[in-house]
Amino acid sequence: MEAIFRDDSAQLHTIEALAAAFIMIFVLAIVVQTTSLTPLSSSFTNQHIKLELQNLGNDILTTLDETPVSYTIDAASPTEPIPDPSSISLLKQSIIDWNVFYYNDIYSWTSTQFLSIRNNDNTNMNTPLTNALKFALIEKGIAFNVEVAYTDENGVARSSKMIWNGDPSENSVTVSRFIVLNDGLSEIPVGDKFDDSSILPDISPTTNLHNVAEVRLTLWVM
Amino acid sequence: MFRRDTCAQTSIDFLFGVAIFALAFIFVLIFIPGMFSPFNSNSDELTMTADRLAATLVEETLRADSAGEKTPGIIDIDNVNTFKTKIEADASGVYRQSLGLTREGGVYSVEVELEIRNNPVVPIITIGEEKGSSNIGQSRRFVIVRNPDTTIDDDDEYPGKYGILTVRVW
Repeated sequence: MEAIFRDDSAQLHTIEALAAAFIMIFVLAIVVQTTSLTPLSSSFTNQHIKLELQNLGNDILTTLDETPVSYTIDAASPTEPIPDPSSISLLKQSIIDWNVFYYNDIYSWTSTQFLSIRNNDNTNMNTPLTNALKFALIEKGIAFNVEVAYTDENGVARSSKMIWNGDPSENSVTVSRFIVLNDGLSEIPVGDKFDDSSILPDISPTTNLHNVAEVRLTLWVM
Repeated sequence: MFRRDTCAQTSIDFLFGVAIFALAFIFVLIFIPGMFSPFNSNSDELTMTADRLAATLVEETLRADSAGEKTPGIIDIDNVNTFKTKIEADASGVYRQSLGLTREGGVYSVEVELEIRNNPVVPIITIGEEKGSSNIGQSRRFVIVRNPDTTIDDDDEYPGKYGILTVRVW
C-alpha cells in the first residue's frame, strides 16, 4: 500500500507559477499603455507647424503695420514711391474701419466673404487686414480668429471679437500687436458715438489719445 | 511487452518550439533598427536651414530700401530679379555659401517660389540637384511686394501686393 506523502512542493510550484504569470501580465500592461517619444510623435511634428504659424502671423501683423496707407510719387523716380510719414498704417486703417464703418460687429467667414453673425444685412467686411488674411491663410487651409483687446474708461481690460470662426484647436498660436488710436478726423472721429461706445471708448477725453488696441490673431491648422 | 513511452513526439514539439523562437528572434532583429530611423533623419536640419534662408531673404536680400528706411517683410520685385539672376548662375555654389547654405560636402539645393495675390504667374527659382526621394525642408513667409506700377488699381493695396514666399531646401 502506498503511503500518501505530504508533499508541499506542488503548492510552491503553483505559487511560483501564479507569481510569474502576474509579473508577465503586469509588464505587458505597462508596456502597452506607455507612449514612446520619437521624432514622429505628435508633439514633435506639431512643433514646427506652430513655429511656421507663429512666423506667418507675426509677418502679417508686422508688414501691415509697417506699410503706410498713403504714398507720394516723385516724378523723378516714379518706381520708388515715398511713404508719407504722417499717414497711418494699413493695420490701423483696418481697426478704424471696423470701429467706424462696420459697427464693431463680429464677422465670420462663409466660404466666399466675411459676413456678420448678428445681422445678415451687414455688408461684407473689406479692409486691408481681411484681404491679407484671405490671401495668406484661407487659401492655405489655416483657420484664424481676430480679437481686439482694449481698456475701458474705468481701466478694466476687455476684449472684443472681430472675426470669429469657432473655438481654436489645441495646436493654436496667438500673435499680437499694439496699436495706438488717436482722436481726430484721420483716425477715430470725435463724438459721443465713438467716445462713449462700449467697444474701444475714449479713455482719455482731455487729450488726443483715444485708446490702445491690442490686435490678437489666433491661427490654427484645420 | 512494449513499454509505454510517454516521451514520444518530442521531435515535433521541438520543431515547433524552435520555429516559433526563430521567427520571434528574427522579427525583433528586423524591427529594432526601424525604430531608430526617425532619429537618423536629417529633416530637422533641413527645416532649420529653410527657416534661416527664408529669414535671410525676407529681412536682407530681397528687402526694399525706401529712402534709406529698413523695411523687413516688404520686398522689392527688382531685388527678386537680381536674386534670381545671381542664383541661377550659381552652379558652383559660391553664392549659396554666402547665404549660409553650406553642408558637409557641398551646398544645399534651393527652390524659391513667390506667389503674388491676384497674379496667376508664380515665378519659381531653382538651383541644384533634381528633387529625388530625400527629405525636403520648407518654410513660408508672408511679404508685401512693392508694386512699381504707379497706376492705382481698385483691388490693389497700393503700392504693394500681398505675397507668400516659399523656400525649399534639400
